[in-house]
Amino acid sequence: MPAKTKSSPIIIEQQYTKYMEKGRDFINDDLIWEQLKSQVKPDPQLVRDLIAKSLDIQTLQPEETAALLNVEDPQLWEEMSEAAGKIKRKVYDNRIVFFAPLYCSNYCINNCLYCSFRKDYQQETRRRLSMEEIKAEIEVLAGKMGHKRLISVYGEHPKSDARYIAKTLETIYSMKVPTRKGFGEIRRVNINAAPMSIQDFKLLKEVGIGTYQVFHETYHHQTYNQVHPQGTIKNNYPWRLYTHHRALEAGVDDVALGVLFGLYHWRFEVMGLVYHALELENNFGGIGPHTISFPRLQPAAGAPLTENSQYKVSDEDFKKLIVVIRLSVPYTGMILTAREPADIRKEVIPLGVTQTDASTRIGLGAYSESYNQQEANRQQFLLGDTREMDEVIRELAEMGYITSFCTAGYRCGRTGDHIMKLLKCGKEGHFCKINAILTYREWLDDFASEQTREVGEKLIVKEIQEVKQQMPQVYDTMMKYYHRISKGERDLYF
Amino acid sequence: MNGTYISDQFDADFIRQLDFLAEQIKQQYKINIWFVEILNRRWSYIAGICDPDQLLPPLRIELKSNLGLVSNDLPDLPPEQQQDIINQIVNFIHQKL
Repeated sequence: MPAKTKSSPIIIEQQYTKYMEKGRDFINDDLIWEQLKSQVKPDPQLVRDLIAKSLDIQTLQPEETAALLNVEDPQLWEEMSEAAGKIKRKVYDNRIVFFAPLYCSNYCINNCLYCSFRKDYQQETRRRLSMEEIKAEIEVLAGKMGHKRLISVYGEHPKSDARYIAKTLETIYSMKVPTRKGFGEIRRVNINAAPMSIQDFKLLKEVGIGTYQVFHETYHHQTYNQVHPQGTIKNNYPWRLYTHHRALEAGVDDVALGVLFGLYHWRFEVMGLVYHALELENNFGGIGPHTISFPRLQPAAGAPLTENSQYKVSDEDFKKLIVVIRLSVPYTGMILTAREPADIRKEVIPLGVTQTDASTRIGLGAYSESYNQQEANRQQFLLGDTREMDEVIRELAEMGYITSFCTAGYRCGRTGDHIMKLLKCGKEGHFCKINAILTYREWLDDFASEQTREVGEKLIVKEIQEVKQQMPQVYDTMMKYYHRISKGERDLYF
Repeated sequence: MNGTYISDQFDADFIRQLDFLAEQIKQQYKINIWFVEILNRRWSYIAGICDPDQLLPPLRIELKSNLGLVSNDLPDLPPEQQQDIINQIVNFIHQKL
């Protein structure tokens, strides 16, 4: 029977119990610990075989991931890290896709111990953006910064239900903003929102959702129950765990996973992510997570757990978990956010990161209201990197990475199992490279500072040369598009 | 079906027929076409042949408000053949929907 908590969305048990076996979900805590313990000090040859399997873009099995998580030899970690970078380049080339978070509402009926949006934190300034306020945010994001892709974020509350989310998507997609040489627009809106029913997912599908993202926070059952207090909707572990199943069942075929690292042992959480990816692949014709996020617990006002957790992840372990996720789910996109400080971001990007954000503001209305200082009482947590996009893009260019604003795939049918197949066979990387060049051209012309443009022009010449050498059959067509963009046309893609 | 897409708007039989139509066109004209469900900006694959080796810009044609056609190599054909193919598809859609 549907269970309804006070002023909360409905949990429909039948929409997840049908996936469970004898009432159990697919995360077996004891088995995960057994697997981790049985793979202590793995044989170097086994590790190298697993690296080879990852380089062949095959998802690892949990016991294989457990072996990698137990590697102690620094030389092997070095090899694994190098392979992580190679895998990323094989699947996605050297582009890094940029996105911006857009916080739309911070009303929340939950009480998560690590989050400033929790209902018991009275000092949080509560707000739900109106459609006019969302338009004002897009004016800045698309018109001044040059973003093309958003992740819209919503607290779990009747005020920000699926109908509100759908309305925000329609508003965002309707905007077109003049820029220096062309126009700016948001071409893909991904969503980070609470678990919902199949019916609600269908509503979001109809308005053109990009990827549906929800993090399980921690896969460890006991910890999950501790940090999500009883009596809240989020306390229902399987309702959240099977939300991607429901999204896929509704036809939303790009879904994203994540864990909030620092709530429980990081090795256990990586195992949970791998189980989750395999569960999706096995149930939905090979469709695994479009992306995996790996945020670390950050200080958050009104959430003492963020300071006191015994499971906080060190920088060294953070790098290791990124490498193991990259090797374990080699086709997936990996999202590094501005939660992390600039120096860490610079260090971990070569380990397989595919997407990141910059010029990030996570306060409600923060882009259009132009406040640059972080305000704990209107944010979910505190950011580690508040640098402007221009600076981050320049830094990446100096590191040899091209920033991409590509949103092509989901606008021409490269979605769901099709994008998965392309990623797994390494073909999508070709599209990534070309579309990175075309969207980088747009951004350099419309938004770059002189200093960044100087660095960017050198990089784009190098990238074009690589296309000429590696994909000569496509070079002429790409250059025609490139010149049209240089003259002010926008949104041309492969 | 070539894919695993779940659609409320198009049933499995219709999607199978789109697959068949794409196969026929492939045999006759040596080009790949695929069909998509249009959901605002999102064009989700539902049927047809999407060849990953074809690195060309996609030509997108809106057949109905919720159904689109995409092809990388349709523009390579002579204009009259392109028109034949589009007519064939439009007639098929008209009959079925």
